[in-house]
Amino acid sequence: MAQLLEIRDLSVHFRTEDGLVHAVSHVDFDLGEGEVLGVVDESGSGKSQTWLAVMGLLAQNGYATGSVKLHGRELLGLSPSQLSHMRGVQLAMIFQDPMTALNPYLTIGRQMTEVLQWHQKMRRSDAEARAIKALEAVHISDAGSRLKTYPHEFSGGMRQRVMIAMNMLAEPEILICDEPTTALDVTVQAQILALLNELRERFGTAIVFITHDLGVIAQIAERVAVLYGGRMMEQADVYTLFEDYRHPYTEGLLRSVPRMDEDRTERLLTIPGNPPNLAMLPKGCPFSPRCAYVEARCQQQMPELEVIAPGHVRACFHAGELGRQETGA
Amino acid sequence: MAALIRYTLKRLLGAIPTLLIIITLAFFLLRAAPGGPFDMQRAMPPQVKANIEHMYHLDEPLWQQYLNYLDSIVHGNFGPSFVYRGTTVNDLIRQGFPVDLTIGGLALLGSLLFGVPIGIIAALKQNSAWDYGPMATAMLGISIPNFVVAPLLILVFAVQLHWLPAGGWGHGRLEYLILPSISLGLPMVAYMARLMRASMVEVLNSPFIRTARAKGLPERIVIWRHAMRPALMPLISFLGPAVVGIVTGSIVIEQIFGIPGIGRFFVNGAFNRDYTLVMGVTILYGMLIILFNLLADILYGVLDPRVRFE
Repeated sequence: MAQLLEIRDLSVHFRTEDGLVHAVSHVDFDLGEGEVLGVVDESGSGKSQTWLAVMGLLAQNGYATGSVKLHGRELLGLSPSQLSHMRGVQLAMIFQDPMTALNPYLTIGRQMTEVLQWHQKMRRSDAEARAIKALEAVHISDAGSRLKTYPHEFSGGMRQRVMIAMNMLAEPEILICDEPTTALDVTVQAQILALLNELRERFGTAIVFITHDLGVIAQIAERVAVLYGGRMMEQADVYTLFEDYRHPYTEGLLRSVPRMDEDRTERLLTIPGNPPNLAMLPKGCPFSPRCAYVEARCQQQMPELEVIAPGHVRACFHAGELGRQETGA
Repeated sequence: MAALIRYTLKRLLGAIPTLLIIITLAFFLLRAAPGGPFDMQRAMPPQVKANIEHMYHLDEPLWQQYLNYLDSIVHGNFGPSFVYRGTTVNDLIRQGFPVDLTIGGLALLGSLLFGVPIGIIAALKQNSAWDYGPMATAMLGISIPNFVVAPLLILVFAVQLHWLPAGGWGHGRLEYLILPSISLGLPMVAYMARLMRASMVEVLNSPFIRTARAKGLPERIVIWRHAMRPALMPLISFLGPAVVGIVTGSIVIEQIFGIPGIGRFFVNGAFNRDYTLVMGVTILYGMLIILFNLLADILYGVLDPRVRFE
């Protein structure tokens, strides 16, 4: 698998009234062509910020340090016009809430064709023909007449399909999906996941799938990165992560997923405590306040990422086996 | 289009009860105020007063007068003015209203022409001198009442610099229009600039703008195609209140500049208990405000595809 995106030591900071907030600290990611990377993180932990930084879409008070290379070309620090030539063409992004992600004042057709008209200088009629094909590819029937309609005339799942179609128009190499199914109900969620898998096979698009839902990860990801408090906790291929996880946080996440094949009279486990407050992260490991295996040094310093097996890394001091202690009540 | 016409007709019909309430309230409130149109400093001989009151039907029972009044305005007749003898209220309105329409229209147009771009620039250059400067000035513009601004403008541009006339109408020649329109429009410019800035900032932070940027569209397309229309919506809602502001503002401005508009009649009428004149102007203002609110709603519906006329 050829290397596509290489993120090294990426940190994202926000200047706020409470001082500098470190949303993402020193994370590394690699993405190969056509690969599906799942990114897991609890809500409010700034998991989207890594990828907004990659897109150059951080809020005005945010900035990123480190390195993001696409095909070896540094993306951080590109000018707005250089960025805009890359966005949509090489990197595309779809967002959590399809209800608000489309412009309510413009027709679906306008919002789709403008991508091709701008990036590929296509004529409107040609762009419309392509838009119709793209809508058909995401299984929207009667695509021709749909072009003239407005987003509010679509359901949530349909809008997310439109978003996907719109972002696949220029056939980007990487599609970043920021919780694209969180706002949708479960059956629609399954359809969208199936659709993404289908598109990936068809176009060879690499997908970054950001979610807090491990069930979704299991359905789509090949490799999974688990973050906590903006730091990388563990990264492995999806089978290893589910079967042979080596980080207490991963363990906590997996144990708090309800399972159909276990005794369902038992209470579902949860990770005690609250998701991290990015403005007040502890000095050491951000997960240490909630960790069942916490040691004294965890609160003092952040463990380095260690390679456990090829393609499997984790950041934890805990040397023994996991699973001996119950996490949470 | 048919839906739009139906909607407009429906709204116009709906305005009738509103107007009726305005008329009724104004009619009885006016009558409840002490004094009458023919109370002079020196008492009139009772016989003379009775004769005059008889002539204007003021000796009839109040409900009778009310019904008569309703009947006459249904026929488009606002009755004779009590104070401006020999003239009807219709005449006075016909005379004064075009004057108000001119300076009011200029003020509104000017405030849109300046307020909107200033607000947009401030929003695009958020937290820079381009933002803080105009916004601080705008705050000042909102806080300073027009009866302070107008004399200041006269002092500088008429008395000191002799660029423009200090007052009067001059048959509506442009140089006579400038200072009154500016005095009337200045707080509006300020208000619109702030409104426009706030709404543009909000729109620029909305998810669909992020989507547009994520698609790689250049910033000018993002702003002009994606952000402009939604950002203008609050301004359209402001159209109704803006007209109210212009109407009330014009009453003061006309006094200061000695402009023969309706506001002056309104004030004189109120002081002199000129029942029909005050009623006529009240109804006119009421209709104006209803009309502009309707216009705002229609514009809203035309610009926002989610709004349906029903």
